[in-house]
Amino acid sequence: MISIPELRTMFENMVTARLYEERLVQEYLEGKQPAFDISAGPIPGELHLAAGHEASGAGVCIHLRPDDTVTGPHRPHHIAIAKGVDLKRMTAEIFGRSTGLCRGKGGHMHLFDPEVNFACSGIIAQGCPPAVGAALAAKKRGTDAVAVAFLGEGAIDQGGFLESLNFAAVQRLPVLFVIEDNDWAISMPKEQVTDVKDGSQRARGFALPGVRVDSDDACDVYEAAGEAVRRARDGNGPTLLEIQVHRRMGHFMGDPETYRPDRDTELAQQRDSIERLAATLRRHGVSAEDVQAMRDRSSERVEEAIAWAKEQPEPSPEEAYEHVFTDPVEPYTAGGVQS
Amino acid sequence: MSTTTEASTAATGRQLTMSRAIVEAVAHEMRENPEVFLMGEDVAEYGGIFSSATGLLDQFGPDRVMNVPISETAYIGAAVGAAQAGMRPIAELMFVDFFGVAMDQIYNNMAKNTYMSGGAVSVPMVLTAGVGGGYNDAGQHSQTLYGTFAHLPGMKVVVPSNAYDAKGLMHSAIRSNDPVVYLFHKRLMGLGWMPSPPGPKTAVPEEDYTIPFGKAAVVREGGDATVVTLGIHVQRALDAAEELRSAGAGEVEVIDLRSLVPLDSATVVESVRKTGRLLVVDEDYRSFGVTGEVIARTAEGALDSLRAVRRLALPDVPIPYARPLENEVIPGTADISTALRSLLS
Amino acid sequence: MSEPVELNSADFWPEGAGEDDEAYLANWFVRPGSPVRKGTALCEIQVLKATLDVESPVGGHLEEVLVEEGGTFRKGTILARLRPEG
Repeated sequence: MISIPELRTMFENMVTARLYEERLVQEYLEGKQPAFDISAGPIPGELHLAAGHEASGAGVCIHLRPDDTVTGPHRPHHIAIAKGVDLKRMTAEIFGRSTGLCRGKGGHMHLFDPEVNFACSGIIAQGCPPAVGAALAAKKRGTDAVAVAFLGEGAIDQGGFLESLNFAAVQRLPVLFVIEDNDWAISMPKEQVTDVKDGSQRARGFALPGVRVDSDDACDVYEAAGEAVRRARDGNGPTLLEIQVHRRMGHFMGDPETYRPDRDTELAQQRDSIERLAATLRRHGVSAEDVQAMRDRSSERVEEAIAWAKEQPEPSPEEAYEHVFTDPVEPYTAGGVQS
Repeated sequence: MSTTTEASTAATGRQLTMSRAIVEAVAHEMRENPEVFLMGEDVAEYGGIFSSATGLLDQFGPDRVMNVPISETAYIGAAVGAAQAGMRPIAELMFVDFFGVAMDQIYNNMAKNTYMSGGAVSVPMVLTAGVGGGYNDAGQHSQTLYGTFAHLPGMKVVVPSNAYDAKGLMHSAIRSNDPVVYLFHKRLMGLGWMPSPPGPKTAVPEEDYTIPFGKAAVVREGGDATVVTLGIHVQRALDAAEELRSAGAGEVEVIDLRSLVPLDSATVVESVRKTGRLLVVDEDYRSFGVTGEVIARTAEGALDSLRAVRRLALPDVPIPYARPLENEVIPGTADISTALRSLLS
Repeated sequence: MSEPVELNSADFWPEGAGEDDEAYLANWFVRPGSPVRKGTALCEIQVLKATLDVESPVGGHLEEVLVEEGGTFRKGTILARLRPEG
């Protein structure tokens, strides 16, 4: 049975993720208007927002400990926040600063926080094998840690995902695969690329349990993920979960979404899992003031992180040569020209 | 690390094939460190198709010597995940030619995660693979692809030419805090069903020892020309050098690179300053590869000393099946002799 | 000086292999004149696709190799002579 503190944690993580991305959009668009130049402004490069996915990150990660591993996809903010990634250093990374999680070498799609065993990758479904590896390490070491790989529904036709399901199944590894189904793979609707309506059915081919959560109600996600995490911790192997989420924004900032019917975007924006969870909190006796106070605290946390990040120094150009290896290799200097 | 030297152990007279030397290093590391494990296709009961894991299952059991599904993406990627969690996996890719089905895990995760995390993450794993042709297995099972791995940043790439080096390099590879691509030539392993030429079977100490990466070996000294090579072509270069000496055609220095990343340019440059003549021999494709890189670095480091340069590598064709075709494209001892005579004339 | 010990292939001929099967000497791991311990792997042979290591029956020295690498032999062939210690 879900507890009030758990409801509150999920709510704060979801609100933080939503407010965080709203603020990122403001920062991102600076220098990109009126002409949109993807490399201009304080946050350059692609930015994939997860607005509408928050219940998935919050409802799964509430069951996780810091020693559990999570790999995320290219749309990672809500998952990172729910996993407890350092928000200030994550923000500094997104702003390309030298104190960022990756010292400015990763950016928003490639966040690594070993303190809480979080990583994400920009290649579709390719976070699955490393999550399987983390689960393998946990099993070999005899701990009860688990691993979770998040992926989009557009990733379920990738070999890396299917190979990982099979490997995890045959080794009975403590790992969850969580498909966030937002109906769209950039511009391709799900029905255009697969005849399987319910991605969790992919599990059947690997003799694994597959569960679909048909709503993005955080409480439903909580229940399904809780059972899957327990299965994994108890040594009973992997589970495939699919969670229906909604893409409130384009695939990335700057996506004109000309391919998407207006009605689809409207529906996605109407179905707001955050407001639904706020109502649930109120039904459980949490006061309106208290709910508002949680929103305010989340907002402060976001503002603090962004302000801190913007004060951080940019990396010096020489840092480009560092960290190719853990045990460094002397740079090649023959002929007097480095690298 | 043991202080045993090559000379003192040669007295024991124990000669190991390269495959046995590799297995001995892996077994030692597995005994010493519970975080080391091996996974690959057919590595358990079979002991590895090229005998890179013979007997390890019996010693360490199926949890540490794991057969895996034929899913290179899954198990190489799983090795990345386990390495990031602090274990020291060895993942065997049966033939290096199969890298294509798993390249994303290799070059986007294994090779880049340390850099892209700003050093927050280490990936201490070894990716082993059998390489090379010379036994008529055609274009999908005969490549070396040394240059492909060395080209992409983030992987240390080692290529042993004999049993002594193979063991020392494997100890170093497993103890390395970085991903190491360990490429062993199938024809050097000493397999009964794919006999090796003389050379790779050497005296090997029973104790552990390491050979550092980035230190080439001058395996024969000479003042008239330098041959830079690696893997199976080290012995062929030595044979060609001996032939030239017998014919009074010149004294040839032979350098075994042993690792491509890091690459010991200094030893090559120093040798060319002495000889002025450079031949680079490689079993990888000619263009955009190892031979070009070695020559470019030598030019950058010793252009004023360079009087003549040649290279021998696979012409830019896939490796053909039939004997006369394969023999035509893979450099042999006679090809090296011819190139050296031309270089010295 | 002790009497030499013969390394007779009949002593380790695999059960599945018959009198007429031919074996192949794949690798010697010890050079003539080198010391060996009892149980040291002396050589690797192949019979009927199976590979097996032949261990030294005594401690001492490998005195003489009678079947070289790459050579073939049958059951009862003497592969080498060893000189036991003491």
